[in-house]
Amino acid sequence: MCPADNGRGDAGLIPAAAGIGLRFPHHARVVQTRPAVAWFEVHAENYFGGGTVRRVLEAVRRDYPLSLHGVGLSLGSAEELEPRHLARLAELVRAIEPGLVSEHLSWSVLAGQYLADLLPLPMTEEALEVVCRHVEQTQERLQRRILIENPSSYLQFAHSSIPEWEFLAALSARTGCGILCDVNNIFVSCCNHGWDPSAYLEALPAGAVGEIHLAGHAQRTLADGSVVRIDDHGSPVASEVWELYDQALRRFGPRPTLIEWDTDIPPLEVLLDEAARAAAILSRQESRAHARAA
Amino acid sequence: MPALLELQRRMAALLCAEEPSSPEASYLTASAALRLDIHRNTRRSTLINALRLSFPAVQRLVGAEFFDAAARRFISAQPPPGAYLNDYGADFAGFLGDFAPAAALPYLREVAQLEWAVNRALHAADAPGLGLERLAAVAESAWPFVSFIAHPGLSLLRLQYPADLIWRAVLAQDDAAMAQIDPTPDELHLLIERDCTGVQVRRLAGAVWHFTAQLCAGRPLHAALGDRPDAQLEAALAAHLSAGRFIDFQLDDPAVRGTRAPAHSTGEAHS
Amino acid sequence: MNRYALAASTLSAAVGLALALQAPLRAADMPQSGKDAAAGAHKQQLEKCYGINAAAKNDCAAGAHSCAGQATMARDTKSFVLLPAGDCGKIAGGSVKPL
Repeated sequence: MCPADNGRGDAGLIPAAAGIGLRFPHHARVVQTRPAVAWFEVHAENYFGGGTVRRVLEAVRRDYPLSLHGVGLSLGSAEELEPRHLARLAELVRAIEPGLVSEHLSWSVLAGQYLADLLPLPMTEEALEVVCRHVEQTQERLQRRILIENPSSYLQFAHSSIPEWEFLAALSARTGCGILCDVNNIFVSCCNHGWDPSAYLEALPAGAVGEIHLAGHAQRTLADGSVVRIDDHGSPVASEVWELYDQALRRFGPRPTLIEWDTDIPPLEVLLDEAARAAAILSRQESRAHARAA
Repeated sequence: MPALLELQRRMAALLCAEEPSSPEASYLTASAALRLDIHRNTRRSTLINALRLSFPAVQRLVGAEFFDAAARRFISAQPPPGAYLNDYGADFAGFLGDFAPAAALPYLREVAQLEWAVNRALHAADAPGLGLERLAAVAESAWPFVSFIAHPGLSLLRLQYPADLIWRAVLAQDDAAMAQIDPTPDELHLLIERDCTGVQVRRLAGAVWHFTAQLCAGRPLHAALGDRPDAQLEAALAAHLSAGRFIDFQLDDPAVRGTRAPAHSTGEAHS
Repeated sequence: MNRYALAASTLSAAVGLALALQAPLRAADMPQSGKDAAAGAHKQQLEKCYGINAAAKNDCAAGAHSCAGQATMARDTKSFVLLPAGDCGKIAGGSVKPL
């Protein structure tokens, strides 16, 4: 009764340019005015249903390259993946034909209960096997490669035996999945755990990195006096993270780069400015690459 | 060193505990309890926020503080089974109906029921209406045995209070309309659906509602109609069909079914 | 007329009527008239109340930790009497008394 128009012209590949995480407050503006943005990414779960929201996503997909970023598959659960969730994700992927599909190195579902956060995994061989199995199952179901995002974390497990960067490299090597390198998450986790962010970047397999995320974070002092950085996506990208991003591009080459903002979402102009800043660093990297080639 | 499953069970229990200050767990490194509270906070605020987005009229009726307290208790009692949060909150209305501090607002449960139906309508999967040509192609002798499958976004509610008036007035922040509402019990029949322009909340006549409810429950047409001709029901059926409220049909003909071999027959009937 | 004949004739009439009804329904897909646009604005307001075009339930869980920041713990609600204190007071006869 409400005909959907799926007509779209191109393959929707995500360019090595600066995109924006599209959130609901900016839906109307984006659909009506089609601002100049290289590409958009959305949280897949918000579009599992039909109606107005799905019509918006279809309209965005017609006008822009689009990436789907899942938040609820719980690839790190020791139990099996929830078949219904995977089926819904597969339906959305089939309908939208996104340029990229990504998920997180984390867990959030246990014993039929959704814990509504991206929870940290112990870095063990057992956890690696679990995540590998679930990534393979997902790639098989979606009939495509997915990217896995490095987490931001606040606590560590005493029995972790594999450095996070090695865990990601092994995951990619064993399953063929790509890596979504969240530079802000690397910075946040490195500050919280005393790791070296440059060494983290160096250890990632450059060829596997298919996308980069940038976002703001907060700093809080806990009751015991320790300072923790929290990945709240509620402010501009920190200057240290911009520097780390520049390093990441030198290491990986130009990559699709996304600005995320989820807490106290500002006007679209603020996100456009952040994306322009990322675009400037991207083009500087490209001219460096050209100069080297010449 | 706990195995992954055991560790996740222990962490889930800590995250879902009502109070923070969980004891330091030996499998975590220093100041882990405080850091685990970051995840506890995220979980709770995410789920409360999901309920707020599903039940805005309930929240305005009871105020933010009361709503948060009720939501926290609900989350403890009935945590979400899956990560698709648009599916979370189906039982919130029932919970509010039994929630003693809300007893002074007898209509609250029904406003929540209506809001859940509105959510279902907003987020239901897209499903095209049943093509009339498909129905027309069915042999006329089979028509009495047609049963329908309702659109996933369609809800039928039989209520005791004017929940639709309360809901509209509260969401519109219309103080005058709120003052005029007479919250005394009186049977009310609602149909909630999504059409091309958005969510519709309509009042139905009692007989039409009962007929529609029977059809939506999958009863065959002859059983839903009864024995007496009723132009009102005929018009209602036409309206349902043209509005795409049914997405498919089945034929439930006992005569047809009787000729089929039972599934576990010895096979003679098939060969 | 038995119930089966009644059901058959009802469906026949309803399908005929529905076919007639569908013509104006198709017109609803056309560009909106002034009146329809007003109705559309009302619907948009309603959808906004439920987060459509305002906020989404899975955004909060979506990679951003602690939407409320490292939020102060919500008050322990066991220690005080919980009383509805919103627009319920504006509904006639709806004044709230502690039980």
